[in-house]
Amino acid sequence: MKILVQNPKEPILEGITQVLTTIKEELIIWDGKIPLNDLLDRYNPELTICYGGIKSRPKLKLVIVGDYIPYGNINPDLICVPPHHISSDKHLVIETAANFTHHNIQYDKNYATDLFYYSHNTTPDILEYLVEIEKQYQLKIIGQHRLPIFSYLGVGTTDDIVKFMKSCKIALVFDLPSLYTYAANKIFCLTNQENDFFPVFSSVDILKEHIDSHLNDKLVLQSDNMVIEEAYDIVVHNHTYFHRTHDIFTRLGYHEQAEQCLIQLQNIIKT
Amino acid sequence: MPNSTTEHNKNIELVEPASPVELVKPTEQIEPFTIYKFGIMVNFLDLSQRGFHIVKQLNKIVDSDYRFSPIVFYKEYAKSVDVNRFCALLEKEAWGYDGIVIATDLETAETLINCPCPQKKFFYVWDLEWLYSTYHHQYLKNIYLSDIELIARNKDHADIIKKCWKAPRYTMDNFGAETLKQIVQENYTGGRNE
Repeated sequence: MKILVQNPKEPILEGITQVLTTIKEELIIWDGKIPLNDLLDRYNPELTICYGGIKSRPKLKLVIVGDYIPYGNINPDLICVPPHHISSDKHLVIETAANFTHHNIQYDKNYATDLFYYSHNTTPDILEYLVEIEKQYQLKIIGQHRLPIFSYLGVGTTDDIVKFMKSCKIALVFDLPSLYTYAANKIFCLTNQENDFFPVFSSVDILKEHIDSHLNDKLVLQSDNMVIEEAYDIVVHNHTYFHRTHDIFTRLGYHEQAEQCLIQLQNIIKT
Repeated sequence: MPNSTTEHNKNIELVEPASPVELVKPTEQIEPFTIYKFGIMVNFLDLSQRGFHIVKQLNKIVDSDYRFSPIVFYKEYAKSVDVNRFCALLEKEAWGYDGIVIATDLETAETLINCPCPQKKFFYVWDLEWLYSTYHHQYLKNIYLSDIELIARNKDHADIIKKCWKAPRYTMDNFGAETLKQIVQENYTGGRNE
């Protein structure tokens, strides 16, 4: 089946694109430089997944990802919306999920640190946490969003980010998609997001208590390992982009492709 | 009448003039000593705080201790704060220099890492540069975590550098002459021609 995907800039679309590359369907990625109609005429895809609306065509199924209200002669077959959004029979609630592509990277002593934070969309309240933490603990931060603190060690490549993730003792997480990604990679997290597995902090003092106990208390460390395993199980069985893509295919009636998503996931887990 | 000149000469005690050979100490009797060769790499030896300290402290070393032979390797010429009583060479000369070399910022450290001849390489972390501009992590890591040894300016800097990269080997306040001499003495292993 030929599937056309709009240039994946949005996290969910990026995750779905990564899954589509693994299930061996014929994938066409539209970068926006060539007129879309030319591309559709040339490749004649059966399914288009995008985050903007395109004009309906016969025999073309259209999936829109994101908070989009169709208008005019745009008539999508499915709209994937975030949770807590008004839904109808054309809507499918799609949460962000774990990026499951980095789990084979190993520990690297050059990247070893007590605490790690990946800086993207860092808000002032997050910065306040980080400033307090860096005074007392070894914290390393990399990411696109430059922070005015000495723990910020530059813009990292994907390779750097993953090596830091694998080499840190604790990851500080302030958003849910990253939390799923860390859980899928078996990394212990402290977060301010409500979740089913990792400890949650609501103030700097509570965060410091968690860090102290995790770094110094052997009993806590043992229970942390159980938490990591439990979080991994929950995420790899429910919150990966393989599951999200599976849901989309099932809803559109492509059961073979949907099944293929879960088979690929199982293959990755085994390796 | 007696000759007065002859009388006068009789009263003078004749002393044998020393031969020129005896005046010079034989080469074998000169105690051997090591010339400690070291260089400092800068972008400019200009009228900055860094330039001021380098010139003042190197002049102090040259004036007080003949065993030390400092060189400043500069990238671009600039007017310095005082008369340099030490050698200043273009940065490219560091490539074949066999003494100890100390870089003073990220740019010179990057150059120094790629110089094959210096016997020991140090990076004097004059400033926590990664704080003030956006760098790629790989670029910073390749400098701070390379085989170059770090020197911090003070204890606070040393703590930060240790947390973020690796522990500095020395702490040296503003190119302090005594610490600089100590660093060079402890790490100098002799030049190619010694």
